[in-house]
Amino acid sequence: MGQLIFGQLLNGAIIGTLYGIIALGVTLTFGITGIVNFALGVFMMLGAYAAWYFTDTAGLPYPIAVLCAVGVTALAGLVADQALFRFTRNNLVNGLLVSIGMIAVLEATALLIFTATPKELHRVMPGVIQFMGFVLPKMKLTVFLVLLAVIFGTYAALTRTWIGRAAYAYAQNPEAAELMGVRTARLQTGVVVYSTALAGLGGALYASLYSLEPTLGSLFVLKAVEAAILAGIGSVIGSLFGGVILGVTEGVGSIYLPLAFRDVYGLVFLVAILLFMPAGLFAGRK
Amino acid sequence: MIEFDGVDVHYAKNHVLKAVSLSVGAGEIVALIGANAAGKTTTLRTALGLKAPTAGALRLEGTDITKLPTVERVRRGLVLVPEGRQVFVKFTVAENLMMGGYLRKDRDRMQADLDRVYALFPRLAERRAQKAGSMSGGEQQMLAIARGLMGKPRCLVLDEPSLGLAPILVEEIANTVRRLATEGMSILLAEQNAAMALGCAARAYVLESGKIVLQGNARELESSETVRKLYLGH
Repeated sequence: MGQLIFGQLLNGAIIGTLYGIIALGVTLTFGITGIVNFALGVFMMLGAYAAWYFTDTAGLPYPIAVLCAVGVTALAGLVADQALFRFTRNNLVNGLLVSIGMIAVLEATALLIFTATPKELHRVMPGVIQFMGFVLPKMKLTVFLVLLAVIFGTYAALTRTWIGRAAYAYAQNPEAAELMGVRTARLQTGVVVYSTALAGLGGALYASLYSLEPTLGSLFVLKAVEAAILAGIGSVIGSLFGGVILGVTEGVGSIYLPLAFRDVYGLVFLVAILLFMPAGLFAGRK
Repeated sequence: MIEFDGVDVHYAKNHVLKAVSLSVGAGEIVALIGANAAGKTTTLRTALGLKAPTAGALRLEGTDITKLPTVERVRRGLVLVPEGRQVFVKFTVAENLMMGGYLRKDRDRMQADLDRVYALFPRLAERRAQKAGSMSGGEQQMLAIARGLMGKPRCLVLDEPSLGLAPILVEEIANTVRRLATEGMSILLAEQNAAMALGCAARAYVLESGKIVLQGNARELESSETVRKLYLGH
């Protein structure tokens, strides 16, 4: 039983950091462009398939393939931003329509190209680490650590660099930021692209753990939005914790409660939190 | 320094600025006075490129800037201290001031300038680690001006700096404005508080429903019948 609970905790934490990395994109995009980008799920899917393609078909080593996948996703994000999202700035409804439309188009395209047959990467990093009698798969641990590093790195960049300062200033007062000389259009594009790149990274890492289907991102993005709301929109570190809390709730919840409803547990938890803390767990922080 | 040449501005179909021409010379304080909704803020927003004119031209030190984006105008030394302060409420005083120097090439070495504005506004020095949102209106106004100064402006544009402040603070801000001008800065000061603005300025323009209806020497305007009746209340 101990192994089972520990396993579910670990699984929940790993899935949680994946929720967290998408949630970070959701939070950043919302803070800077005023739209909720549900299409981040398909960018995650794109990153996952790109990683699969670069390792399985192109034969690149997995770490290089991940970098290429992130690059491809960022490029796709840039195209999407310049062609579509640019016209939806600060317009929640239009942004929603565009992102939902993008999900339909990109998922159908992926289905056409990759078919519905699940794709699997060859074992990237086999082996386990024994730790106090518990078994930790090396790959899961690596994914977990990489995602943690990226989220904390983003936080450090936002608080310590001029770009981060400009972004945070813009989120507080767009016009004042412009009066300080912040190039606001460029900042918005940068944030949209960075968020898609984060989703691409999440997808590329996901590909090393689970099999791929064209619809893999849709559930993730819903969870990511949940995690972002749970944390309180705008909180960087909060999106990580929001994701992990959600992942762990689902993981541990499904030991004791029917597995079929696992997606509900996080949601119930979210509602419970929002009843007592309407602004989210980490409201008022960055 | 800055010059408006027959500038027209529309908000949708509303003609809010009508052939506005004005100029501010180097080291000169010029006041723009007028009632609420006369078009003062629109004039200043147009100066900074936050609002595009429908006709006319804007020049900064002789260069046409009508089509330049805001960033480029700021880079050329034109800085606006906006109406209602618009400080970054979640930033500390120090962080706000740093944002003021965002465009500077030497933005990682601004300590000397920080010390200079702290000397100008000692109250900000005391509160440098405090969040701007938790300060009083007067302190926020000082911060907004200090933040503008961090951009090393050659021409500082102030939108209603006296709004909502106690008379003693209004006087303090007026003194600061005069002091900046003696250091060579050009200042365009939009004010509803005509007494304060005319007290600072060498020249003034009176804006009414988007038109410049009076202009001239500030001392003469101060004693003119219309200005006394409509704007000074005596």
